[in-house]
Amino acid sequence: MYSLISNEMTKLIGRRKFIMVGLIIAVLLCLFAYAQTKQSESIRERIGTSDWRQELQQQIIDGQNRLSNAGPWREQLQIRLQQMQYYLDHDINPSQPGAPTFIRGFLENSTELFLPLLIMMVAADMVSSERSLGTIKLLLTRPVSRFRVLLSKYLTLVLSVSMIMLIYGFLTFAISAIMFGNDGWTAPVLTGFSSQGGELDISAVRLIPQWQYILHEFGLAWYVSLVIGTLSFMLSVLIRSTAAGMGVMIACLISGAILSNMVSSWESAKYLFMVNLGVIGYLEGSSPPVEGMTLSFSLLVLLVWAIAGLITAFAVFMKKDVY
Amino acid sequence: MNKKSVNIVIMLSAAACLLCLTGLGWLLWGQARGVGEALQPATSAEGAAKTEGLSIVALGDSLTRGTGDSEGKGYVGYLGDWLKSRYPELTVSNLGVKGYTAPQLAELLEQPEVRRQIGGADYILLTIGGNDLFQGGQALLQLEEGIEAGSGEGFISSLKGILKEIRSLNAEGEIMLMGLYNPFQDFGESNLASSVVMSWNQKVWETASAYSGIIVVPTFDLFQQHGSDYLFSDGFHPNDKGYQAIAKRYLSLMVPEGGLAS
Repeated sequence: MYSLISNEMTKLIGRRKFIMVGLIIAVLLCLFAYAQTKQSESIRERIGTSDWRQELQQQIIDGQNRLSNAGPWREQLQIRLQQMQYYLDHDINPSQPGAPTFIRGFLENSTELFLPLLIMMVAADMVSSERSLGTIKLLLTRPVSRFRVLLSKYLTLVLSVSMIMLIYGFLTFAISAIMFGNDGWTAPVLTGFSSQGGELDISAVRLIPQWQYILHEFGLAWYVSLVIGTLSFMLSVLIRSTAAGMGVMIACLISGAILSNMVSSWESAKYLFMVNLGVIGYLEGSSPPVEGMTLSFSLLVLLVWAIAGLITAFAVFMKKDVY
Repeated sequence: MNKKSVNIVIMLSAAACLLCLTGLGWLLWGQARGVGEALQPATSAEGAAKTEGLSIVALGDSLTRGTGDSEGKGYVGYLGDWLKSRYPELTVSNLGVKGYTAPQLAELLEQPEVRRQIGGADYILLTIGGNDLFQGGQALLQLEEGIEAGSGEGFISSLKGILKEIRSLNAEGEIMLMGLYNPFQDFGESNLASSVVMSWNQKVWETASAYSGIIVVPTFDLFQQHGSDYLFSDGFHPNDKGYQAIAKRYLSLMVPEGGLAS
């Protein structure tokens, strides 16, 4: 089994997948880090201070002014403002400048679209490329069962998802530590906020150090990435063309991003996997797309989708005629 | 691609996988158990936010926020820009919220951070009353009943509370309260509106004079003369020019020579 996995890994490395992923991450990171510096600079210029309390207070007031014409975002903004106020009331800086805070924010913004896209780059052609290149015949004529062939491919996928998380973590850390300094790993972060009908519920709020929060985030991001990877893997088995498989997956992801913002009245949409990708939002306490969704619910929905995808992939692969 | 580096990649991936699993497992375990440091009640730093340079805190409604100004600066923003050349260490905190009435402002004053900032301010700029008087501009049509029956008494008592509160937080800082102008200069009933605004200002003036170090900055005359030039297209808030004219007036009161930097 190990030699099969190692064989698959060699193929992935040979196609320079990880280098591509690393390059994309690095370029985007530089953009975001630069934007972040610009933003905090402009706030500082306007108030003329680096006192975070004053900055936060200003942000709350700015938010209150936007509240009247926020339209459909009103509820979310309100929750966000109440949260900021809670931080302020407890004298905790929600965005202590430094690499950890940047990593925290960047990770939160990239789980829904950016990371899944990177994962797809690896997962989408895992099986279909073998077919289009014709190498699948070589693979299947070996004295190894089809089940083991596909299993080794899937395990390689799990490993590469982890590898991408590692590359991602390392690059974010390296670049943000250079740009923002390496302080704030033990800074306190509040988690456990939940929202009930546009009101912030603070009964379960807990205080944890930032490094732990980031570890949680990585865990969730990895989970989401793995689910997306599994589904792309399934499409790669089902659809002969890599481009078509990727297209389907991208369409799902984008529709998820759009749906998340407008399904609040369509209750059963919460069973779609793409609406459940924003799991880090639960850590942070932003209001979920459909009222009543919780972290465990979303994780469970994703798990069901992944298992169904995996079963389909194996069933099809083992029965399919190869010519 | 040699065997060794592939092995290294696999090992690293496995380690990363374990690490992520730890994060996830820890989170779920924590969720189930509800562990974590319990949160102690608010311990806010009540001490005044004293900064090195000049510090300005602006409170109030849309006039403080700068509604109608194309850059969203408002008179506070322009004032800050001009003062900056003289006081490089200037800090300006604009806490104005659109549509605020006097009772809402009184509520804002209860927040610890707002109190802290007021405590350390050299100047406290205040605009309030426009929404109490005109009810956000909607009284335009029912000018007569709307304003005559306006909650003058209620407003004055709220204003007293606000001024008292600010004074108790900051005994020395200069409080500058903006007098109202009549935005309905060019309407048929402008005389009625003008007299209502004037008597309103009169009451505000009397109230403010009971406290030390409060200046009421008049704006009525500015808009009386340049009404249509100074008003934004909503016919209620000042435009860029209007805010600049107001800011100039403030500047002449804050800088001894009254000299303009720009």
